[in-house]
Order: sequence, then C-alpha cells, then structure tokens
Amino acid sequence: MTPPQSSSGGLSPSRSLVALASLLLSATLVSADPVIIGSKKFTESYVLAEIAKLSLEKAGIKAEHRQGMGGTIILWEALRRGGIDVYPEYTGTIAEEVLKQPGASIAQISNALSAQGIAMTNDLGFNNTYALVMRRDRSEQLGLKTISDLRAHRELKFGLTHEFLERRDGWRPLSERYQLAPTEVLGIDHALGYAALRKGEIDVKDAYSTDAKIGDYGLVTLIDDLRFFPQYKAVFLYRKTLTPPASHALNDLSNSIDEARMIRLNSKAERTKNYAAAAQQFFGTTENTTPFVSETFRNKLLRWVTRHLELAGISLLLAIIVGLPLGIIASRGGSIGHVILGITGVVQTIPSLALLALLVPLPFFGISARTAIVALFLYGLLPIVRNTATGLQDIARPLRESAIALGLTAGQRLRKIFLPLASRSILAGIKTSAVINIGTATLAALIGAGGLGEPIISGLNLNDHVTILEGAIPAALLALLVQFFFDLLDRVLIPRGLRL
Amino acid sequence: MNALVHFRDVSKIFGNDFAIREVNLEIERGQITALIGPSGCGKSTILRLIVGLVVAETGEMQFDGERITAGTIMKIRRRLGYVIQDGGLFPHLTARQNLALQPRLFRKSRDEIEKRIMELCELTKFPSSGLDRYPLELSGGQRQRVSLMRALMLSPELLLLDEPFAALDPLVRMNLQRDLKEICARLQQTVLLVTHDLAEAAFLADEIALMNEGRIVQRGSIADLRAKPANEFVREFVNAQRGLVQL
Repeated sequence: MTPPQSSSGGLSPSRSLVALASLLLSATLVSADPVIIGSKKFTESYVLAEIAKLSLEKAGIKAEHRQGMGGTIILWEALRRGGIDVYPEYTGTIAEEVLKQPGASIAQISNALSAQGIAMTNDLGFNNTYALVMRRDRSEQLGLKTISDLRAHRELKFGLTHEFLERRDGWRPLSERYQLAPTEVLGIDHALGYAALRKGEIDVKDAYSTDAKIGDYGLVTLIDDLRFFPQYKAVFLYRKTLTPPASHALNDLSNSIDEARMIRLNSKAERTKNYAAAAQQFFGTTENTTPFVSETFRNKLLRWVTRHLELAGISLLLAIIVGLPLGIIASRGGSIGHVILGITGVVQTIPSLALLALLVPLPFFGISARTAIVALFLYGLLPIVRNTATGLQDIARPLRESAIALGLTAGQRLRKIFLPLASRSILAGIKTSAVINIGTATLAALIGAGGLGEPIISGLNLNDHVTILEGAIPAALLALLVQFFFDLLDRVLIPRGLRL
Repeated sequence: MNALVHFRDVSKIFGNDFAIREVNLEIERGQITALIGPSGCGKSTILRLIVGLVVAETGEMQFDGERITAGTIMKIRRRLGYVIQDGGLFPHLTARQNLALQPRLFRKSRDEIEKRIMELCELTKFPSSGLDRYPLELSGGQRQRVSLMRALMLSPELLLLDEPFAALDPLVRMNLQRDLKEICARLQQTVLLVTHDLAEAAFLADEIALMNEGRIVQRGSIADLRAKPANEFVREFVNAQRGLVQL
C-alpha cells in the first residue's frame, strides 16, 4: 500500500494549499523530535502510555503522549505511517483486527509485524480480555453465571461499544457461537455504557477484564464458558526505527504488571482523573522517583485554549484564502458556480467525525493537527463561499452597471466596488465559519490534535462531568468571544456608508 | 459625417422580442437630443448600447467615427458620462470619493481632481459641505447633482441621461431641469436624454426623437410633433401629455 502519486498537474491549487498548511503547521506545532506515544480512547490505554512515557524519560529520552486518538485501526495506521512511534496494544486485537489472522501464535504475530517494520515487546504481565458484565443484583435475580446462561433471556438489553459491535472477535461471532439473539442491542460509548448499566437502562455490556469500574460499581463478569475470547495480553507495539535505548526502556516493562495491579492503576487513574499520577504510582512502588508535579489547571487551560485557537484560526485563515476566490467565481453563476456551491455543500453534510475518520488513512494526513486543520478548513469553506457568492449577486443592477459605465476594469470593479458592497455578507460568512470551527475543533482531540476537546473526551471516558465542563465551558465562552470580536470587526471593515 | 454618434440599422433582441428594430440615428454635437416614448419602447436600450452594457445583434454603431465594439468600448466609456434614474452612486463611498473614483483610476493628480470637483460644485450648485456625506445622507435631488458631477468629471464628449429626474418630486425636478439646461448651455455639452415626459423633453431638448415599439417614429422639434404628427400614435402621445392649462 504505497500512497498514490497524483499524476497530473491539475491539482496544483490544492497542492499549494497543502504546502501552505504544512508550512503553517511546521511553524507552530512541530518542535524537536520526541518519541510519540499514542493511546486509545480508554483509561488503561492512557495509563500504559503514561507508563511508557515515564520509562522513556527515565532513560533520558524525550517522549510525548498523544491521548486518546481513537480506535485500533487509527492507531495502527498512525504507527505504520510514522505518525506515532509507540502505542499499547493487546495480542488478541493484533491477531484479529490488525493482522486478520485469528488464533495466530506470538511468534507468528511477531513475524508478521516485523514484515511491516513494527516490533512488539513481551507481554506486560496481564491479560485484559473482553468480557460481558452485568450488575450483580440483576445477575443474581436471574441466576446468570455464564455467557451461555444469557441464551434463555432474550429480553435483556445489550449496550455494546461500537468497536465491539464491529470487531472480528466481537459481538457477531460471539453471538453466533453462543446462539444469542437478544431483542435489543444498542451501540453506546464505553463510559456512557457504564452509566447506563448502573442506572439499569441496559443489562449487559462489553468490558475489559481489568476495567476499574468492575470493582468500583460491583459488577460481575459472566464466565466465558465456551472459551470464545482470545488472549489479550498487553504489549507495546513500536516502530523498528526506534533507537536501541528507547526499545530497551519499553522492553524493561515486560512482566511488570499483573491483573490486580492494572485494575488498581486504572482505578487510581479514574479516581484522581490523572493518568500521569497513576503511572507515577507504578514507578513509585518499584523504585524511587522524583515527586510528581501535576500541571496546574491554569496551565492546562492555557495550553488547551492556545491549541484550540491555533486549530480554529489556521483553518479559518485557509478557508478565507480559498473560499473568497471560490465565492467570487461562484457568484458568476453558470455550471462552474453550481459545482463549487454543490461540492462545498456536500462537504458540510459529512458528519465531522466521519470527515476526520476519512482523512486519517490518507497519505500526508494521519493522526495529526494537520488533519484536524484540513477537516476544519473544509467545514469552514461553505459559509464563506456561499455568503461571498450571494453578497456579490445581491448587488443591485444599477450599481453594477454604473461601475461598468465608469470605465472600470473587471478587477477594479471587484476591488473598489463589489467586494466592499458585499462586505457585510462576506464577513457574516466568515463569522459563521469561525464559530463553527471553534465548536468543531473540540473533535480534534479524537485524533490527538489537542485543544479544548481533550478534557471533554477524557471526561467522557471517565464519565466525569466536571472534566467535560472544563473543556465545554471554555469552548462555549471562546465561541461567544469570537462572535463578539467579529461584531467589532464589522465596524472596522464594513464601510461606514453601508451602516447608515 | 459630423454627428458624434451614428446608428445604422441597429437591432437588439431580448428573448423573442425586438428591443429596438433597425434603428438609424445621428446625434449632433453641441445639441441636446431627447429620446422619448412609452415604457418598453427601447429608448433606454439605445443608451445601454452606446455604453456597452448590452451588445447589438445587427447593425453598426459609431462614436466619433470609431466603431463601438468590445475592443474599443473601454476607451469610449472614458469619453462618456452616464447618469441613471436613481443616480447609481456607490453607497460605501462619500460624494467626494464617488467623484474621485474614475479620475483617480485614470491617474489624474489629487490637485487636479479637487480643482475639478470645486468647479463642478459651483456649476451644479452642490454645496461643497456635502462632499463628505455618504449617498444615504443626501437628499434625492442632491444625489442627482452628485451623479451629474460624477458624469462630468472627465469632461465627456457625450452625456447620457437615462430618466435622471423621474424619481424626484416636482419642485426639485423643476429646479434640476432648469439648472441642467444652464449647465449644458455653458459647457456646449452634447447630450442624449431619455425621458417619458414630453414637457421635460420640450423644455430641455433641441431635437426630439419619438420612439414606439423599438422604432423611431418621428424626429423634430416639439412644434413639428404637434403640428405635423407622422401618424396616429404620435398624435395620441402628444395629446396624452396635457398641460395644466388644459385642465
């Protein structure tokens, strides 16, 4: 799978756009060359990634953790393409999902990974397999102990994660093997699923066997009596290009965490809302370390807001640079105008999450702020293009013709007359884009691009409303501020004669 | 061939209808010619053809001996002044900026422009204190004076006026008509005026061309039209515009 090279020069505007975007990014977002660690969107993955980070830092290697980048495929692609260098994974997932070789042995897995330039550490010491869990009172009331027992209770409501529903070792083969046919199966986020289970809105849920919530909520794990679930030994996957000291630092972690310990670390992470602290605890009990200093809220907020503004600002700038000319062309009507408005309109109808997911596997994009910026840019285009086009089209015919009759050239008419006359509409489009971008930029955290989405997503994972609000409130305030800023800008940029 | 503008068998079609039909027309220098006729008779189309806002299907048009084509129109526009019913002043520019727009693009110096503006203020009786107002801050009559000034900035050889006073109230209109007549006399300005008001045409114009259904049906002075109507339409049109005296 090599990235397709575009063969014609017909894409040069978009190419130069891409070049511009990467220029802006390299100027603002890229620093030295730390080892980049990715993690999936759940507590244990975060904690393991933090442990890897600390281990690397103890070996004197700079490391950076991109939190909660998404699911298996996104992380695997990012690793393969070099967007990240390391991430924690489970052997079962590698065999089933990544290599599509169900039941492969460790040696077979190692060889297959090696062929793709990826290495794997020995297992970290615990098996975190999938499990089906229920509330204790509910299972006792029905006398359920094993997954086979579920067969007789079709009325039970299943709330399963989207990943589990789709996995090759997930719901579909499981239900075939056990002959389960419940009347209701819902797809629900992992953390929200726990809340639903607790409230009794669902009866059965998929879980990881080391989930802290199993202990915290007093849940029972149904016995996998047909031995359906494969082994899910935790390992780190890393690029073979990693330096020997770095791969040593990762391999040193083999066989150092058992199930009980992992549950404790997960529980610590969820209670303190601090993954780094949990990782610190891991090292604290094994050796002496420097005391952990947690980042102050003010610093975190500053970091989130800065990155958020970078994401929204750069993408808005690009949308203006590209959208204004497109809007001018579209205002002339005809088939080209229809095509421009049509395409930008279609982009707008793609759900933002889907747009991110579509961009991630493309060459050049991957898991990065770059991808988030391009997605936001595409979203920001439509309001600017449409408002520019209608603003120009709405200019009254007498004014249009006066400009022509005065002997102004097409360029002079546009610059001196038409754009100023359409300025109110154009600015309104830019304002709409800006506000949309501030909101949508919260999704950037899903692909590790940071911003105010970071606390929102951690909060969702931890089912912690306070953390969600730490991101949601500043994001809402930011949107209001942006609106206010543009209202001020109106007064400067819209000619006074049009505001009478 | 001393006429400034020549039309030879010019036709313009909009959709399925002729806007004008095989029109032949000369506009003499130093005169005010009025094109008059009912709405839709094609009188505005003649102005729009000269300015190049629309393009004729057939026939030939000349300005000062030069054919009006896509290639020559930019040069010719510089030598025209064009005033429309509601002025066409750009609302985002002050009166002064509206006036300076065209000369600035043709690289006139700031001093030259300012001097010309002052001359025209006096000529058109527009108070110079209003120059820094935006069009929306001016009265309808003042707006038309600024429009007229804008059209005269580069001393055009031909002034085209398309119902310039139609939207004004009668008193303001009368003052403007009187002032316009005086201005044109002082400048010996060649003017092509489109109007549907026979009294206005009679007051301002040296010659009247009456149009109907895309054709010029009669040319001459108001006295000619009244005394020797070429056909029934001319007689009806002249009679339809009765003066107060008759009431």
